[in-house]
Amino acid sequence: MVCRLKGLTTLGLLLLLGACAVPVIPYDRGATPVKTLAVLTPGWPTAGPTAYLATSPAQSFGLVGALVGAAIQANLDSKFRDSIGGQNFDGQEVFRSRMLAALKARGYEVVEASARTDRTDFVADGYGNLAADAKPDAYLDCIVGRFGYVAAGVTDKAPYRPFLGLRCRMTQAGGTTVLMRDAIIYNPQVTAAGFVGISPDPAYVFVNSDLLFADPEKAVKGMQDAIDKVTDALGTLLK
Amino acid sequence: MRRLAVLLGLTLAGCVPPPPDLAPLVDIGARTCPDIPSTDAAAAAFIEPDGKLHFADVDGGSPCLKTPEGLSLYTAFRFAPGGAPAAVGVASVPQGRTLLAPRVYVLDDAGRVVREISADSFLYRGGMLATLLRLRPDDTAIVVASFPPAIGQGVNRIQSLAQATTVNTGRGVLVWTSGTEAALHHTLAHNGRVRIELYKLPP
Repeated sequence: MVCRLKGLTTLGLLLLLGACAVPVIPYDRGATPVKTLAVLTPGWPTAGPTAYLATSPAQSFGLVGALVGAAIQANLDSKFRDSIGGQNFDGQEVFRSRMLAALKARGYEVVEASARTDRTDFVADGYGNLAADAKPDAYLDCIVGRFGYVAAGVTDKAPYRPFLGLRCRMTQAGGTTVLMRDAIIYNPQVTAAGFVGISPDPAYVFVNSDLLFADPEKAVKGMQDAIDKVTDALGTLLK
Repeated sequence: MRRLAVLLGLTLAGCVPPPPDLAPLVDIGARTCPDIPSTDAAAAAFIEPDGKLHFADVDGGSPCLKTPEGLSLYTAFRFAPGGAPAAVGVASVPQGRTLLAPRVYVLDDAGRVVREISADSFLYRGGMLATLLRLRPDDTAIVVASFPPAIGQGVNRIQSLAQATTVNTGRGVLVWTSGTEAALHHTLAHNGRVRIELYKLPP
């Protein structure tokens, strides 16, 4: 299936899907079995988790509105990070370990390959120079674009729910053959066939940002649920 | 920017009318069904690897299949074997409250089932229950069949939607953005609509 929403990324609603104009490539494990899989350190948003407001009235007022909207967003993100600061939750590490576990559960011998975590796209110059503990059959390159919570709008009908966007590409070792390329979004804000969309768990809902900031323990559990379900879905795509 | 705004509005603002409601078919009744699906020209549409979308409805009049898990209804598609690397996207499209519980069989030229894509390989894509598979040189047909153990199960989903509404003011276009969400409930059934897309992969 080909994602046909490339243009929308410029409006900021699909920032995490910047490369979705290319067709999804499904993996055929029976035809090209991979035994040892080198998993790159996942790319991760450097700013940390967000309390993302997907749409707001400010967006309707041109450049001034965009500046106001950016200020509102920065304030939301700052308050959210402060609120969960005491929870000792390292989303990046939780994601990494959960992804490795999901792949091992699917029968892969997983080795880790060190890569920059601040990358926002797949490694462009091949994987041959990456250090790995064993010689792999393929490399799995995954990037988390955004992570945290998202509200589709500012009304009670669009509450905050957990959110995570992931893109992955698996490339055969020693070449450039792409064995798999796909994307997974927990709680997507649009409907499109170019990515796997996971419905959010109804238990983790906050009618507004104040309620989200007031219950950091529940907020972290919601993000954990997003990580669990996205990594499970990755395992399904690679089974 | 204007073109993007219009595209965004059309795509996200729900301009596409919802499909008509369809009552879920959860009991096929007593039918005598073969245990091998038919993919002859009369039973299966021929599709090309051109990325076009094809739809087929599965209903009480569709051919049936005897499987180890029970009776199943199905639809089939044929395509030319070999050729450039290609993939198939198969999706079960909600029809009101009904969603066909899908699984896929891949057949060779002799009509033998060479692979089965199990129900748990299906994930949601664009609100549809979908799977994608890379074709092998000997593959010549796809059978999309209902999965008896899942029939009658309910599925609840939450779909958030960021929307943009465009208004032509006469001196320009105003884009008004807003968001909402909907709670969706579907019953997995023997019947429903199937969407299939055959597309080429990079060599």
